[in-house]
Amino acid sequence: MTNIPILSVSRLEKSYPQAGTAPLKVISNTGFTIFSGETIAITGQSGSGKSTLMALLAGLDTPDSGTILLKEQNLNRMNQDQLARFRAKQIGVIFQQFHLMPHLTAMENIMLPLEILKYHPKKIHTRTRRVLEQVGLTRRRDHLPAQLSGGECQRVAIARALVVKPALLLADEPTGNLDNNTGEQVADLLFDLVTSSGMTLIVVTHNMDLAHRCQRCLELKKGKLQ
Amino acid sequence: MNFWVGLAFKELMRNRRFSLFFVLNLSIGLVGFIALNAFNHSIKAHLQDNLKEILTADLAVYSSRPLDKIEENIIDRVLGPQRHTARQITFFSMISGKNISRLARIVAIDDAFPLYGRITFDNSPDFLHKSPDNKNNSLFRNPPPLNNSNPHPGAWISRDLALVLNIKKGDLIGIGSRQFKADAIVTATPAGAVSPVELAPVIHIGTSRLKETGLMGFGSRTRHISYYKLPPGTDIVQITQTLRNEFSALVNGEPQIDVYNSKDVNQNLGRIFGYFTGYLGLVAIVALFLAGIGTAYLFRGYLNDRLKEMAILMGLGAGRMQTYGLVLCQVIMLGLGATLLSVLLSVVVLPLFPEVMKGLIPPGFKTVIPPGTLGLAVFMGTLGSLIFCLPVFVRIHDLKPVVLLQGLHTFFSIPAAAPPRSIWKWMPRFHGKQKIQLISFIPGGLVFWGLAMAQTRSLERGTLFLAGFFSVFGIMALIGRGLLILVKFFSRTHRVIAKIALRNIFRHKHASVSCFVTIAMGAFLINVIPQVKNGIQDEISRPQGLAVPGFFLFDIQPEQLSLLKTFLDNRKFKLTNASPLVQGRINSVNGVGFYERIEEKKTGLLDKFKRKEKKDARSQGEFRRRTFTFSWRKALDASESMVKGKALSNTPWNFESDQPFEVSLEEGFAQRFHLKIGDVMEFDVQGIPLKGRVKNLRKVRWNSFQPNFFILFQKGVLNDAPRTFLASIPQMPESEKMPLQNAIIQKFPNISVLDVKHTVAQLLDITQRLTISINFMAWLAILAGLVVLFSIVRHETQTRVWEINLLKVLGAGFSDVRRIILFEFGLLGTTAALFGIVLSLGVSYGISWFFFGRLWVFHFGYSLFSLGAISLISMATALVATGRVIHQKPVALLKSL
Repeated sequence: MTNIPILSVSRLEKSYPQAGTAPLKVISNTGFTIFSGETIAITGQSGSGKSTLMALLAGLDTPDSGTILLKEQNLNRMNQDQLARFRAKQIGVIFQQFHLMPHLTAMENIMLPLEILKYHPKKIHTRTRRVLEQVGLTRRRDHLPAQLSGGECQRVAIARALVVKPALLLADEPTGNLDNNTGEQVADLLFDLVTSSGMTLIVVTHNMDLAHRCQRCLELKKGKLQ
Repeated sequence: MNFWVGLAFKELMRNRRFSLFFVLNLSIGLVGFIALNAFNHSIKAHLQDNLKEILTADLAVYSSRPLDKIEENIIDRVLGPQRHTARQITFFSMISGKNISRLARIVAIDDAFPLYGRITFDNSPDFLHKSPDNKNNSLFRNPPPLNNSNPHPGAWISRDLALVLNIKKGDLIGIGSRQFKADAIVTATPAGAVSPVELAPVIHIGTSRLKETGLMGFGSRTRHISYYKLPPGTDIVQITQTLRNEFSALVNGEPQIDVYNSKDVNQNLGRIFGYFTGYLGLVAIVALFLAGIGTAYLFRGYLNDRLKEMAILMGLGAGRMQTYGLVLCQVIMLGLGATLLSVLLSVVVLPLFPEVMKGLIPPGFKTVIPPGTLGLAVFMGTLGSLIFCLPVFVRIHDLKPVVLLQGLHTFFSIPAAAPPRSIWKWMPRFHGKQKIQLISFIPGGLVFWGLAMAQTRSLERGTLFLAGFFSVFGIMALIGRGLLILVKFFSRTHRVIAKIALRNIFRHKHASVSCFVTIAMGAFLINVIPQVKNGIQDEISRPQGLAVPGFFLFDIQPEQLSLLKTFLDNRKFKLTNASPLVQGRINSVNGVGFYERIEEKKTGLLDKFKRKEKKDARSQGEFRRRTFTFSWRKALDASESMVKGKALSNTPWNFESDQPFEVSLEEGFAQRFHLKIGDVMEFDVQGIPLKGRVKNLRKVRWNSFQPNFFILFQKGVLNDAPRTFLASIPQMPESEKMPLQNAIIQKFPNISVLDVKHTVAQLLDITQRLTISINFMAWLAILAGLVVLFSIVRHETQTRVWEINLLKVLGAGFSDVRRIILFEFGLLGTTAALFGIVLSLGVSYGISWFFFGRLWVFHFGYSLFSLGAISLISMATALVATGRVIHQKPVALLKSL
């Protein structure tokens, strides 16, 4: 961890329109700062707005107001295409449901973000092979997601998020779809890789064991981080 | 029950866009079908109601000479004394007006004609229409009867002739050696109501004044018709048969007299319309088929969206049958909606048919949508929807509420196939679900088979059509699968957009191949119909490599031939293709009666159908030709070519020879009468039996308007036979036509001169109007094809929503996603269109070669246009269909299951 702030969020607000009633405020005047290399857990009850916050931080959704500065770049000021480019380079996302391309092999899934960023083919192959090795899936590289176990799928998803060496890694319940043992192995892998690469990690979870492995733990209550 | 119907309706209302699109799509397919069915029904009903007026009698006896005493006696005996009789003699001849001559059809009638129906005259003060309440007898009150003893015999001329000859009532017209006075201008005759193409306009004169024309000499091809009106309650069909039998018994072999009744006329006319509407019907089936594919695709997308809700309903305790019922109810509701819309559209379209076919259909014809057609519309709309959706419908057979816990992806997963072990390894393998799905296509196939047979009125042709259609389908599927290998190879590119798009294509094998096949089928259909049509149209208007003559001359007497040549040479015109014409009969082929041998003795189901078709065709008025024309020539004309066999010998045949002489047949004629090379044919020329052997088959381009014949004899055979000549005069400037025509008629009054340009224009006018209806149907098929295209692309892109969102999460910009989609569907659309067009060119060439005597012209512009249009439409459709998804925020991925 360094003293350089990598993510600064201030006065963030997000609400969803409700038919016949006032809009439902999910995130309310929230602000926080995260430093480079830090690992943060965001916890909260179901419906507390964890996923909404995650979507806002990943640039997948736009806030009603407030600012999100990632590496001093204001996400709110970017259009969708700029946001997509920025996300491709700076943000890695790991989903609870893995969200792998079913028709691509493990290796092809991992290569995909690099291909989108138009990396040189040689570099794509070198990086992919290295990450595959790191997540221990070299032998399963040519398997389709349907031929992999849940744990293996999540390892592919982690590898895909890490392969571009993003500044910020966001994980939405990364062990939520796995059994305890596998979940623990995946968490070990995730934290090992994050620590070794000095990456910043935000984990959204209600798994307190996973949350406690992070350096800081923030709880989302009534739309505010505490 | 009410709850489920209400729920079904509510769901459809909630999915308005789908419902509207479904209804619109199916109704496009149905509208042509319904309109055509209603038109067919209307024309049949009209003919049925006006049969006697069309024939102008209950029964008519046709012959090429006046009936002799024995024949008259038979008629007396069979028809009885209570009959009313009218006589008519028709033939072609030149007539002259004020310095203008023109070929006309002379119709000599007695005062009793017509026995039913009426002739209407120009509505001028001196010649009023006869009163409608006195149909039969008031006809000759006004104008004066034709059979009178006036010094200037009267004539009723058609409006066309009056215009061409610039004749008013009271003017004189020269027919042969007699002057006739134009007593009336005829606006409509009962029989003329259903005679679309007249070689020449009609002039009516009295039978009693016919001799005075001096035109009834040898070689005049006259037709003598006796019309009979019988007392009410007479069994006309039975009497017709009795007369036919009695006339047959008079001669050894084929009778020389034809007997028709009003039912024969109905069947004959029905057959003529049947050919035309049959073709349109097949195009309508194609449109319906395409609409069916579109419907199924739309429904598949809808059903996929509803699966979760259905699983929830099941989870809440709804039975499987109730869930089925819900979907069934929705399909029926949508089908009814489509029916209603298509009937409404048909009401708009139907009145266009009589407009387009003006002159081809009887005046006073009204189109209606009969209850039977409405019933068919409801049947096709509801049951048709069910049949189209059946393959999709069976997918929910295995749906269980447990998918809610497992995720819907488990429902769609297909077990891995066992490794191939046998020579059948290349054949597609199907698991349980897929087998059921395959079986579910059978009802649809059967319905289309039934429709194709109904439209073509033939088991053989209907089956052939369907087999051809599905063969094209199969070929396209094979090409599609083959192309996947290429796509896989090229997906190794480092260009990321191309790589992702190509990978999408070959990894989504089934979706890509079905998309390819459907677009290719659409392209195929869009091209094959106009391509065939273009060839025929081009050939009629501009026969390739042939010079259409200016005049066609007939009834030239042998002694006039050299005089005519000299006459024309003096005026710097040329008489070309002078061909002798001898009339005679064909008695037998290989020792069997000419028509007897056509009665095939066959067994088996298909042959039973075939026999029925043949019987139907015969009963539909496939009247037997009694006399044929024969000719001979030194060398083949440019408009004909030998397609099989060897050229006829140039050595004149010797009458003393015990060997048959050589015969050349037109290939269509040979096909129609089941004749082949080597067959020995016995002819009767002026009572002399002659034996000939078929030496070759010729292809004749009749649209050349040159003298051509079905049967050519070896030289020497017909040298001494009484004959007339046909000939042509090459094209000339328009200004020289009329003076030449007048000069010929003055010098040779018995020679008939046909202005070919006028006849071609008449034919083209009819072709043009028929083309409008053909084009309308083709465009309907095209529209249905486009809707299919949209449905497919929309469905396919919607299945990719999740992938598109994931690409965005991984950093792909909107423009990247758009380019991937454009690349993927552009490539699919372009290759599918290309192969569809290439196949359509092949098939249209085959159709033209097989059915229309190789009349095929490659319309590069149209093919290129459709290739570009389909590619662009594929890409545009993909963009429109994915527009919402592309611009959707990728956060949807977080919210997905």
